Amino acid sequence: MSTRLEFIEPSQIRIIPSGATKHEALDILVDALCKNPAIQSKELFTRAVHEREAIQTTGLGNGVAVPHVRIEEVTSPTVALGIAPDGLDFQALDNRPVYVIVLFATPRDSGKTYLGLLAKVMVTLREEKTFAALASCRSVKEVTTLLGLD
Amino acid sequence: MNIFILGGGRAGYHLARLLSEENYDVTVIERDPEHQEYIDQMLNARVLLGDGASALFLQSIDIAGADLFIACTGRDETNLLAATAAKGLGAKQVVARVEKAPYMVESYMYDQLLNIDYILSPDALVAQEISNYALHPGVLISEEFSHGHILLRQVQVAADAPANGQLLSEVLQPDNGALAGVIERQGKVFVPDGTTRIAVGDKVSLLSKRETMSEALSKFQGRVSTIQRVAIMGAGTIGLWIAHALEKKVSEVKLFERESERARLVAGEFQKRNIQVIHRDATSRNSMEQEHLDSFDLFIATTEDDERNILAGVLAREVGVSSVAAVVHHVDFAPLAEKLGINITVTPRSMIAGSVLKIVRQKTVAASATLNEGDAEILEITVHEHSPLKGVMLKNSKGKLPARVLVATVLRDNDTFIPNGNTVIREGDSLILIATTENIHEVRKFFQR
Repeated sequence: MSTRLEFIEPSQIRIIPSGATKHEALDILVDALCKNPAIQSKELFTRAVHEREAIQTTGLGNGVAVPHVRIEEVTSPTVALGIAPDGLDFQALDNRPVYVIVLFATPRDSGKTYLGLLAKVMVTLREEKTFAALASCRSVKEVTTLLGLD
Repeated sequence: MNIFILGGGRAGYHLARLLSEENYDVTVIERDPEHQEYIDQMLNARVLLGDGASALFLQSIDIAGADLFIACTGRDETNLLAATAAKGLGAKQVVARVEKAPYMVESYMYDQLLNIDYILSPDALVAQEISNYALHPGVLISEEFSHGHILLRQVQVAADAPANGQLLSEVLQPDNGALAGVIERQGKVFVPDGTTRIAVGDKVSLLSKRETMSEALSKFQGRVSTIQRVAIMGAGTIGLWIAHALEKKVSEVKLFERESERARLVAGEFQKRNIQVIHRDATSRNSMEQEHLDSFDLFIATTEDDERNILAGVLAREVGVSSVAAVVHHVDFAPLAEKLGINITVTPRSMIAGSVLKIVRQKTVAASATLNEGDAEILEITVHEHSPLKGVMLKNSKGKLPARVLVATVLRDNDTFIPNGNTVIREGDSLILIATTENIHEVRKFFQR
């Protein structure tokens, strides 16, 4: 399958278990991302993710959530991908369950080139078939196969 | 904290009032000289006349000294541009208010492209609140604390609710994991205790562990039937957000739009779905009857016009719709609308003020929620090494904790409990506090991060 998600690191993909809360899902993805040396302070990163979420949900509709933080303690842009095949109550703006979570961490003063990558991901997720295929993955292997990351 | 607000319209004025009452240094930037004078007379805030979209103007008022810059004029592009300019010129945190859906839906792009800390959409928040009500009938407010371990729900006590007429101590025992933090009764807000007798119509704010919330809710709600058939008046941004939220969740949605061009456009968007777009003015008994609204569970009035929304809501009740929600832009109309039988009113400017207050509070507290137009506040704080609360037994907290501030829950080692007088506060505890407006300022001083 031709997608534009090739830049996602397979070790930073997680399946969110059924019945998880939004905060549990965020913690799972934060853990996954913190394995990456680009995240220099897990504590500050975790706090920033939850704080942003407390101000306003990053579940912006159509089954996708894009939690993203920009803090100094990140050295280069990196992304974690979470799939919740059973749907997740994310208090999304459209009140619909979230199936795909794209957690983005970026340095405060990074250039904007990575935004092109993020935009490509989001455009891909707007294709109904790709979204449905991705949203129903129940293992990381399925995700990496689907995205051609193997 | 130095706060600049661009635009002294409905939202900006309301924000400036709330923030200046809390003794922040508030500066309002307004373009209209007459309005500038009005704000100057009414509020304890500095009001500057000028064009906030001009970078040189922002420079001339020393925007670099702003801890927070909030652009909330009526124009999205002006807000985005001004927020970007303010940030570039040195403002520490900047917020832009937007109305158009794409700016909100793609806000994760725009906030990074434009270097804006928060993009907020009052319309999206209003729609979220109303669709939440449709999906969870009877729940007026829902919020989360302690990383989702603690839920806040506001409900109105129904006549057939088990709690009606009971003492609070009989309804909720502390070891149940739930408590009633704040009650609004006939417009007055207070923190109840065990001797408070629950009355029908009380708006009770419950705090509970996630696991025990539904049990606590059931005591204050009467029989609640699910909402299946929904009529929405007005296919503006709010109406559309709500329709999208309810799609596939309820069995039928009728979306009324009186302007033909708009109705046609929207109908295209909803083709083949369970949402029927009806080109018709819903504000008449005739059209409501012809569209069989008597069998509907919920009528939602979402136009820009408060009088139309309230009138249509009252008519819908008359025709036989079970419950009615209305968007009310003018805060003063909300209590009136509720007196006239409208079950829930949502005010866009209060929604945006709620978000901005959360941003302001975040300097000192981990999370917060504002209740009842700012009459009460729920705050989550972490007890640090030098906190005056560290090591304090709650029954001896006098002098350490401001008077009439309630410690509602304690999160310790991933476990949450409701404290009693013998609870000793430890370093690292995360506390949820309930305060009413008069002592909120004091609370804030206590918990600088």
